[in-house]
Amino acid sequence: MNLVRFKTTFFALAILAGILLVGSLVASSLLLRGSVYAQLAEKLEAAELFGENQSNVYIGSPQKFLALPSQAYMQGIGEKGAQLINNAYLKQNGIYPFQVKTVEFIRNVIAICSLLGGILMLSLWARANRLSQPKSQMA
Amino acid sequence: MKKQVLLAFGALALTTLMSARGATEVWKVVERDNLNIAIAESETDVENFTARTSKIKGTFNFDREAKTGTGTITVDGASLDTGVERRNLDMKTAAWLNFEKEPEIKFQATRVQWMRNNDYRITGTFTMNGVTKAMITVATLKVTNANAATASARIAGDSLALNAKFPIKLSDYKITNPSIAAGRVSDTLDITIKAIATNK
Repeated sequence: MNLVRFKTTFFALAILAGILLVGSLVASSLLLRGSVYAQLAEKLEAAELFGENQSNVYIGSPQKFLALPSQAYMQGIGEKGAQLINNAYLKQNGIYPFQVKTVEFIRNVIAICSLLGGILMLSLWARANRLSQPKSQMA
Repeated sequence: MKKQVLLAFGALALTTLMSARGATEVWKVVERDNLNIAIAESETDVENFTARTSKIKGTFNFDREAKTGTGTITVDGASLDTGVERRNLDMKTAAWLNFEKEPEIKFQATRVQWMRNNDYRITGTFTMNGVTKAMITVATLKVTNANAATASARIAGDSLALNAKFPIKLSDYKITNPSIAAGRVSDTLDITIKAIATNK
């Protein structure tokens, strides 16, 4: 394979990988700004019949969620001091409650792939660059 | 005379026994949305997601005085909703929970022992994916005599509220998937069942 021929491409891809790496870190930190420790909850009819002193039923355990519209939060405190998110409101408005875990997972995948890709492209570019030098200069 | 006294005691003992047995009432789950809920929570690398349904059926034979009983709760697994249609479809396939073929999730209580307040130790079986395993869990059972709260919930008669939360291991129920083996999806599924039954 003629590496020299793709020298510019390797360099461009290395730059692109760097942009992706930085972009994923910046985008995730922007998305995670204002994230909340909260728990999805719903009002259950006749909750008092269960002997509980609150009318909400928790839908799953508390998680870190990305910030949601203020109307999505309910009064009261969930397990482990979590804020309560009105699951019925999310459903009505077609809002999916993304978790911090999801953003971090995607960020890590993009960051690792772009870092590895960037290193590979840089090393290929460096090799192509060496090959493209006149032999006398290399000596 | 002695024979008559013995007969009287015998009759009294029999009546007491019969009345004690008669205290066991049949409680049927009120099949109505927003009254009952079953939730399954799964932890994955990407997110912790919950699936929920209100499609719960069941009957209890519960003696509120003796605080003992038996019962069966059935959840329609095929109706579990995760909030993502694609995931709902995947969940039902044989690669995951196999609800297409085995939609029934059944919790059968063969022994109910009172512990304290409204807490009971429930011994029984749990069935999922056609596999039945013995299980013991702690649940709350609360009897409420017909009152304003039951009336506002449109429940005829007294109510018996069940609240159970327990984990199950998917591999115990022959639910295996490469993602579980690789540790990307937890082998543990946390299940919560809240149901209201009535004696009328």
